[in-house]
Amino acid sequence: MPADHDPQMLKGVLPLLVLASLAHAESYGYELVVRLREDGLTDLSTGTLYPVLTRLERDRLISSRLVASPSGPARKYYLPTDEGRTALTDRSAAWTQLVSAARTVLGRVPTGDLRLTDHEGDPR
Amino acid sequence: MSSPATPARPGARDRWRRDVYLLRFGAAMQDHPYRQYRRIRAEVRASVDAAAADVGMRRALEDLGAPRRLALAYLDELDRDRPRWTDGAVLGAIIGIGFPAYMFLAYALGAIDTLDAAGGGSVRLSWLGAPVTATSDAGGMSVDLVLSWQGTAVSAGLFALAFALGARVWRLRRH
Repeated sequence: MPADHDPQMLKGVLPLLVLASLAHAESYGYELVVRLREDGLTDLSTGTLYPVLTRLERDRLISSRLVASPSGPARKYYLPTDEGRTALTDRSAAWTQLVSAARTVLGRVPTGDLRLTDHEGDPR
Repeated sequence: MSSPATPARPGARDRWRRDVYLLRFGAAMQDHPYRQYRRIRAEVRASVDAAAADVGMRRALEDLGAPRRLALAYLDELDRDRPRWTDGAVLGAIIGIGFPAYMFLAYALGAIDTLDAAGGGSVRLSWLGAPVTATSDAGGMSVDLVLSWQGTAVSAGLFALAFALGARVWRLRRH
Protein backbone atom coordinates (compact mmCIF):
# COMPACT_ATOMS: atom_id res chain seq x y z
CA MET A 1 0.00 0.00 0.00
CA PRO A 2 1.43 3.42 -0.87
CA ALA A 3 2.31 5.67 2.07
CA ASP A 4 0.16 8.57 0.83
CA HIS A 5 -3.47 8.36 -0.21
CA ASP A 6 -4.97 10.31 -3.09
CA PRO A 7 -6.68 13.27 -1.34
CA GLN A 8 -9.63 13.18 -3.73
CA MET A 9 -10.22 9.46 -3.16
CA LEU A 10 -9.90 9.95 0.59
CA LYS A 11 -12.28 12.91 0.52
CA GLY A 12 -14.96 10.77 -1.10
CA VAL A 13 -14.72 7.84 1.26
CA LEU A 14 -13.74 9.53 4.54
CA PRO A 15 -17.31 10.30 5.75
CA LEU A 16 -18.15 6.61 5.33
CA LEU A 17 -15.03 5.55 7.24
CA VAL A 18 -15.77 8.04 10.00
CA LEU A 19 -19.34 6.74 10.36
CA ALA A 20 -18.07 3.15 10.41
CA SER A 21 -15.39 3.92 12.97
CA LEU A 22 -17.81 5.79 15.23
CA ALA A 23 -20.36 2.98 14.90
CA HIS A 24 -17.65 0.70 16.28
CA ALA A 25 -16.77 3.00 19.19
CA GLU A 26 -17.68 6.51 20.34
CA SER A 27 -14.66 8.83 19.97
CA TYR A 28 -13.46 12.40 20.22
CA GLY A 29 -11.70 14.05 17.29
CA TYR A 30 -8.05 13.33 18.00
CA GLU A 31 -8.73 9.79 19.23
CA LEU A 32 -10.62 9.10 16.00
CA VAL A 33 -7.69 10.34 13.90
CA VAL A 34 -5.32 8.07 15.81
CA ARG A 35 -7.65 5.10 15.31
CA LEU A 36 -8.03 5.70 11.59
CA ARG A 37 -4.26 6.08 11.27
CA GLU A 38 -3.81 2.75 13.03
CA ASP A 39 -6.31 1.28 10.57
CA GLY A 40 -4.09 2.29 7.64
CA LEU A 41 -4.89 5.95 6.90
CA THR A 42 -1.38 6.86 8.04
CA ASP A 43 -1.35 10.32 6.45
CA LEU A 44 -4.76 11.42 7.79
CA SER A 45 -4.61 14.79 9.56
CA THR A 46 -6.97 16.37 12.05
CA GLY A 47 -7.33 19.23 9.56
CA THR A 48 -8.91 16.77 7.11
CA LEU A 49 -11.11 15.10 9.70
CA TYR A 50 -12.62 18.04 11.63
CA PRO A 51 -14.53 19.53 8.66
CA VAL A 52 -15.96 16.07 7.94
CA LEU A 53 -17.16 15.74 11.55
CA THR A 54 -18.73 19.21 11.30
CA ARG A 55 -20.57 18.27 8.11
CA LEU A 56 -21.77 14.91 9.46
CA GLU A 57 -23.07 16.64 12.58
CA ARG A 58 -24.73 19.36 10.50
CA ASP A 59 -26.42 16.64 8.41
CA ARG A 60 -27.54 14.97 11.68
CA LEU A 61 -25.69 11.76 10.84
CA ILE A 62 -23.71 11.97 14.06
CA SER A 63 -24.45 13.51 17.43
CA SER A 64 -22.02 14.75 20.04
CA ARG A 65 -21.74 15.15 23.80
CA LEU A 66 -19.15 16.79 26.02
CA VAL A 67 -17.34 14.48 28.40
CA ALA A 68 -15.12 15.82 31.17
CA SER A 69 -11.53 14.64 31.02
CA PRO A 70 -9.20 14.25 34.00
CA SER A 71 -6.16 15.14 31.86
CA GLY A 72 -7.37 18.24 30.06
CA PRO A 73 -10.41 20.13 28.80
CA ALA A 74 -13.80 18.48 28.24
CA ARG A 75 -13.87 16.44 25.04
CA LYS A 76 -16.55 16.26 22.40
CA TYR A 77 -17.44 12.62 21.79
CA TYR A 78 -19.23 11.65 18.58
CA LEU A 79 -21.64 8.80 17.89
CA PRO A 80 -23.76 7.98 14.80
CA THR A 81 -27.45 8.82 15.05
CA ASP A 82 -30.12 6.39 13.81
CA GLU A 83 -30.08 8.35 10.56
CA GLY A 84 -26.31 7.97 10.50
CA ARG A 85 -26.49 4.21 10.95
CA THR A 86 -28.96 3.97 8.08
CA ALA A 87 -26.65 6.10 5.94
CA LEU A 88 -23.74 3.87 6.93
CA THR A 89 -25.61 0.76 5.75
CA ASP A 90 -26.60 2.39 2.44
CA ARG A 91 -23.18 3.85 1.76
CA SER A 92 -21.40 0.64 2.66
CA ALA A 93 -23.49 -1.20 0.07
CA ALA A 94 -22.75 1.50 -2.52
CA TRP A 95 -19.06 1.32 -1.67
CA THR A 96 -19.01 -2.47 -2.06
CA GLN A 97 -20.61 -2.13 -5.48
CA LEU A 98 -18.09 0.53 -6.49
CA VAL A 99 -15.14 -1.56 -5.34
CA SER A 100 -16.50 -4.54 -7.24
CA ALA A 101 -16.79 -2.47 -10.43
CA ALA A 102 -13.31 -1.04 -9.93
CA ARG A 103 -11.87 -4.54 -9.41
CA THR A 104 -13.46 -5.71 -12.65
CA VAL A 105 -12.00 -2.79 -14.61
CA LEU A 106 -8.59 -2.92 -12.96
CA GLY A 107 -8.51 -6.69 -13.38
CA ARG A 108 -8.29 -6.20 -17.15
CA VAL A 109 -5.10 -4.17 -16.86
CA PRO A 110 -2.18 -6.39 -17.87
CA THR A 111 0.38 -6.73 -15.10
CA GLY A 112 4.07 -6.13 -15.68
CA ASP A 113 4.30 -4.30 -19.00
CA LEU A 114 1.84 -1.38 -18.86
CA ARG A 115 2.87 0.26 -22.14
CA LEU A 116 -0.10 1.55 -24.13
CA THR A 117 -1.48 -0.62 -26.91
CA ASP A 118 -4.02 0.16 -29.62
CA HIS A 119 -7.34 -1.64 -30.03
CA GLU A 120 -5.60 -4.52 -31.86
CA GLY A 121 -3.09 -5.00 -29.09
CA ASP A 122 -0.15 -3.52 -31.03
CA PRO A 123 2.18 -1.10 -29.20
CA ARG A 124 1.37 2.60 -29.84
CA MET B 1 1.44 15.63 33.26
CA SER B 2 -1.25 16.91 35.57
CA SER B 3 -2.94 15.03 38.33
CA PRO B 4 -6.49 13.78 37.67
CA ALA B 5 -7.86 16.34 40.12
CA THR B 6 -6.50 19.30 38.17
CA PRO B 7 -7.13 19.20 34.42
CA ALA B 8 -4.22 20.59 32.44
CA ARG B 9 -4.72 24.03 30.91
CA PRO B 10 -2.45 25.14 28.06
CA GLY B 11 0.38 27.39 29.23
CA ALA B 12 0.66 31.02 28.14
CA ARG B 13 3.00 30.21 25.24
CA ASP B 14 0.76 27.40 23.99
CA ARG B 15 -2.32 29.60 24.27
CA TRP B 16 -0.52 32.30 22.27
CA ARG B 17 0.44 29.75 19.60
CA ARG B 18 -3.13 28.49 19.42
CA ASP B 19 -4.61 31.99 19.29
CA VAL B 20 -2.26 33.07 16.49
CA TYR B 21 -3.28 29.96 14.56
CA LEU B 22 -6.97 30.77 15.14
CA LEU B 23 -6.40 34.37 14.05
CA ARG B 24 -4.91 33.21 10.75
CA PHE B 25 -7.70 30.64 10.43
CA GLY B 26 -10.28 33.40 10.96
CA ALA B 27 -8.72 35.56 8.26
CA ALA B 28 -8.96 32.67 5.81
CA MET B 29 -12.57 31.94 6.83
CA GLN B 30 -14.01 35.32 5.79
CA ASP B 31 -16.20 33.67 3.14
CA HIS B 32 -17.90 31.55 5.76
CA PRO B 33 -21.26 32.65 7.24
CA TYR B 34 -20.27 34.37 10.48
CA ARG B 35 -22.53 32.49 12.88
CA GLN B 36 -21.37 29.11 11.59
CA TYR B 37 -17.77 30.32 11.60
CA ARG B 38 -17.98 31.27 15.28
CA ARG B 39 -19.23 27.78 16.13
CA ILE B 40 -16.54 26.15 14.00
CA ARG B 41 -13.85 28.33 15.56
CA ALA B 42 -14.99 27.32 19.06
CA GLU B 43 -14.97 23.65 17.99
CA VAL B 44 -11.50 23.88 16.47
CA ARG B 45 -10.24 25.62 19.57
CA ALA B 46 -11.73 22.95 21.87
CA SER B 47 -10.41 20.15 19.64
CA VAL B 48 -6.92 21.67 19.60
CA ASP B 49 -6.93 21.97 23.39
CA ALA B 50 -8.11 18.36 23.72
CA ALA B 51 -5.46 17.12 21.27
CA ALA B 52 -2.81 19.24 23.00
CA ALA B 53 -3.59 17.42 26.25
CA ASP B 54 -2.71 14.18 24.42
CA VAL B 55 0.30 15.18 22.29
CA GLY B 56 1.22 18.78 23.13
CA MET B 57 0.19 22.03 21.46
CA ARG B 58 2.94 22.05 18.84
CA ARG B 59 2.00 18.60 17.55
CA ALA B 60 -1.74 19.36 17.77
CA LEU B 61 -1.31 22.43 15.56
CA GLU B 62 1.04 20.63 13.16
CA ASP B 63 -1.58 17.91 12.73
CA LEU B 64 -4.18 20.52 11.80
CA GLY B 65 -2.04 21.75 8.91
CA ALA B 66 -1.87 25.29 7.59
CA PRO B 67 -4.76 27.53 8.76
CA ARG B 68 -5.58 28.42 5.16
CA ARG B 69 -5.84 24.78 4.14
CA LEU B 70 -8.08 24.02 7.12
CA ALA B 71 -10.29 26.97 6.15
CA LEU B 72 -10.47 25.71 2.56
CA ALA B 73 -11.60 22.31 3.84
CA TYR B 74 -14.44 23.99 5.77
CA LEU B 75 -15.31 26.23 2.82
CA ASP B 76 -15.50 23.11 0.65
CA GLU B 77 -18.35 21.92 2.84
CA LEU B 78 -20.47 24.98 1.98
CA ASP B 79 -23.24 24.57 -0.56
CA ARG B 80 -22.17 27.71 -2.46
CA ASP B 81 -19.67 30.56 -2.58
CA ARG B 82 -20.18 33.43 -0.13
CA PRO B 83 -19.34 37.14 -0.38
CA ARG B 84 -15.88 38.19 0.85
CA TRP B 85 -16.72 41.20 3.01
CA THR B 86 -13.18 41.81 4.21
CA ASP B 87 -11.80 41.90 0.67
CA GLY B 88 -14.61 44.31 -0.23
CA ALA B 89 -13.85 46.63 2.68
CA VAL B 90 -10.12 46.70 1.88
CA LEU B 91 -10.65 47.34 -1.83
CA GLY B 92 -13.35 49.93 -1.03
CA ALA B 93 -10.98 51.80 1.30
CA ILE B 94 -8.18 51.78 -1.29
CA ILE B 95 -10.33 52.86 -4.26
CA GLY B 96 -12.95 54.99 -2.47
CA ILE B 97 -10.76 56.76 0.11
CA GLY B 98 -7.07 56.22 -0.67
CA PHE B 99 -7.31 56.92 -4.40
CA PRO B 100 -9.28 60.25 -4.11
CA ALA B 101 -6.95 61.34 -1.28
CA TYR B 102 -3.91 60.60 -3.48
CA MET B 103 -5.44 62.46 -6.43
CA PHE B 104 -6.24 65.49 -4.24
CA LEU B 105 -2.70 65.51 -2.86
CA ALA B 106 -1.26 65.38 -6.39
CA TYR B 107 -3.61 68.22 -7.46
CA ALA B 108 -2.71 70.38 -4.44
CA LEU B 109 1.05 69.83 -4.82
CA GLY B 110 0.77 70.65 -8.53
CA ALA B 111 -1.02 73.90 -7.66
CA ILE B 112 1.68 74.82 -5.14
CA ASP B 113 4.42 74.02 -7.68
CA THR B 114 2.72 76.31 -10.17
CA LEU B 115 2.45 79.08 -7.55
CA ASP B 116 6.17 78.67 -6.73
CA ALA B 117 7.05 78.95 -10.43
CA ALA B 118 4.94 82.13 -10.63
CA GLY B 119 6.75 83.67 -7.66
CA GLY B 120 4.40 82.59 -4.87
CA GLY B 121 1.01 83.81 -3.69
CA SER B 122 -2.40 82.34 -3.09
CA VAL B 123 -5.00 80.90 -5.47
CA ARG B 124 -8.60 79.72 -5.09
CA LEU B 125 -9.40 76.57 -7.04
CA SER B 126 -12.09 73.94 -7.14
CA TRP B 127 -11.56 70.19 -6.92
CA LEU B 128 -14.57 67.94 -7.45
CA GLY B 129 -16.76 70.91 -6.54
CA ALA B 130 -14.87 71.55 -3.31
CA PRO B 131 -13.32 75.02 -2.79
CA VAL B 132 -9.51 74.69 -2.44
CA THR B 133 -7.20 77.53 -1.43
CA ALA B 134 -3.51 76.87 -2.17
CA THR B 135 -0.94 79.24 -0.68
CA SER B 136 2.83 79.34 -1.18
CA ASP B 137 4.93 82.21 0.13
CA ALA B 138 7.95 82.94 2.30
CA GLY B 139 5.96 81.73 5.35
CA GLY B 140 5.52 78.28 3.87
CA MET B 141 2.84 76.44 1.98
CA SER B 142 -0.72 75.43 2.86
CA VAL B 143 -3.79 73.92 1.26
CA ASP B 144 -7.30 74.54 2.62
CA LEU B 145 -10.13 72.26 1.51
CA VAL B 146 -13.83 72.43 2.30
CA LEU B 147 -15.61 69.13 1.67
CA SER B 148 -18.30 69.26 -0.98
CA TRP B 149 -21.20 66.92 -1.54
CA GLN B 150 -19.91 66.20 -5.05
CA GLY B 151 -16.52 65.04 -3.76
CA THR B 152 -18.17 62.99 -1.02
CA ALA B 153 -20.52 61.42 -3.56
CA VAL B 154 -17.65 60.50 -5.91
CA SER B 155 -15.71 58.99 -3.00
CA ALA B 156 -18.78 57.11 -1.72
CA GLY B 157 -19.62 55.91 -5.22
CA LEU B 158 -16.08 54.63 -5.81
CA PHE B 159 -16.13 52.97 -2.38
CA ALA B 160 -19.48 51.28 -3.06
CA LEU B 161 -18.40 50.03 -6.49
CA ALA B 162 -15.04 48.72 -5.26
CA PHE B 163 -16.70 47.18 -2.19
CA ALA B 164 -19.28 45.40 -4.33
CA LEU B 165 -16.66 44.05 -6.73
CA GLY B 166 -14.18 43.13 -3.99
CA ALA B 167 -16.84 41.43 -1.87
CA ARG B 168 -18.34 39.69 -4.92
CA VAL B 169 -21.85 40.69 -3.79
CA TRP B 170 -23.43 38.73 -6.62
CA ARG B 171 -22.69 35.64 -4.53
CA LEU B 172 -25.58 36.69 -2.28
CA ARG B 173 -27.98 35.57 -4.98
CA ARG B 174 -29.33 32.10 -4.30
CA HIS B 175 -28.42 29.57 -7.00
